[in-house]
Amino acid sequence: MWNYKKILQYPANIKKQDPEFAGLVITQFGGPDGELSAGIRYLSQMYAFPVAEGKATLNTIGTEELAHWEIIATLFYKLTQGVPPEVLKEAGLGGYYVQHGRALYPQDAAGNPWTAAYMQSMEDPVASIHEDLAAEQKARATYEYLLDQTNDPAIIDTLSFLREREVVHFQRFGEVLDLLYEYEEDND
Amino acid sequence: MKLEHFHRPGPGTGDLELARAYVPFQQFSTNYSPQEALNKGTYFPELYKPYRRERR
Amino acid sequence: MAAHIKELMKIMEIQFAVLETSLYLNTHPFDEKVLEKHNKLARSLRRLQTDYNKQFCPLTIGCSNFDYPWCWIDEPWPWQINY
Repeated sequence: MWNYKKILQYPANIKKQDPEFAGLVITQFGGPDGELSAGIRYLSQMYAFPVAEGKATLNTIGTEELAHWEIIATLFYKLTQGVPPEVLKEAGLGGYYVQHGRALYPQDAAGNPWTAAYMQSMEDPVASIHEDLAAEQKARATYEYLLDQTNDPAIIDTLSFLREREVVHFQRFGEVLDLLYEYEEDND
Repeated sequence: MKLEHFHRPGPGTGDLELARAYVPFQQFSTNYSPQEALNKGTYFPELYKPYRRERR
Repeated sequence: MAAHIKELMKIMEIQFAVLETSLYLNTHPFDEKVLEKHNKLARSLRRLQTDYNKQFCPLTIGCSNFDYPWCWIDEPWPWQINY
């Protein structure tokens, strides 16, 4: 089961409000390569995964992704808090504002709502793990694109942290892949 | 592209199979302090691979 | 609000090291060195959290008693804090 801890994994701050950047960072909240996709993907694959180390890794990383989802939400919340509607509109969030106000809504940077079409969960564990390895690379690349779009040092710290997590997750999924092949050899 | 590149794989890869991916297993050696680990995004220096940002 | 941020930061640091070691152990379950580090960090984390829970408000439901009135609903929530 899941329990909530009233603390962020990382102290996410912003130096200055920037609604335009909020409209970009939301891709990691509800976009194809974002934290919600990652979390739901891993926590879905977990149930049928045949190898013990794999179930545990999917469980731990999937749960961590939800903590990252909270961090992205924190950035969006702080970047838009109290920003007047006219300013939001100028920054490209006019459509978002009339549909959601400043509330968090899982969508990508182009306004497409989150969908399970962004992920796959297969009983074939080799296929699923490759899906996960790819997901970590796509997330890492997306953080790099986002880092290229801001000069706010506080946001850079937070996005750099989240980016480095993708590198570590890739390593862990890679190790599960190795264990998986060993398991398949032993069970043939 | 150099001609030598067509003579892969290199030494020590004799027992690697085709049509599959390999990620080497991490073997623990050292760790950061918890404070530095949080700053960097990992407890393990060998997994730290920072991004060189394009200057905006 | 500023008073408990220092304590929150310390917890963030230790809980992250606990997470990283546990993630490593998921694929290296026989690594005694890292297991020892994990357990030492987890002990520190429990101590820090017990102190925080007593001094401010519990971070999780189920691990400690709550004083009257029920402070779980109190602001700020984690996304509202200026760290």
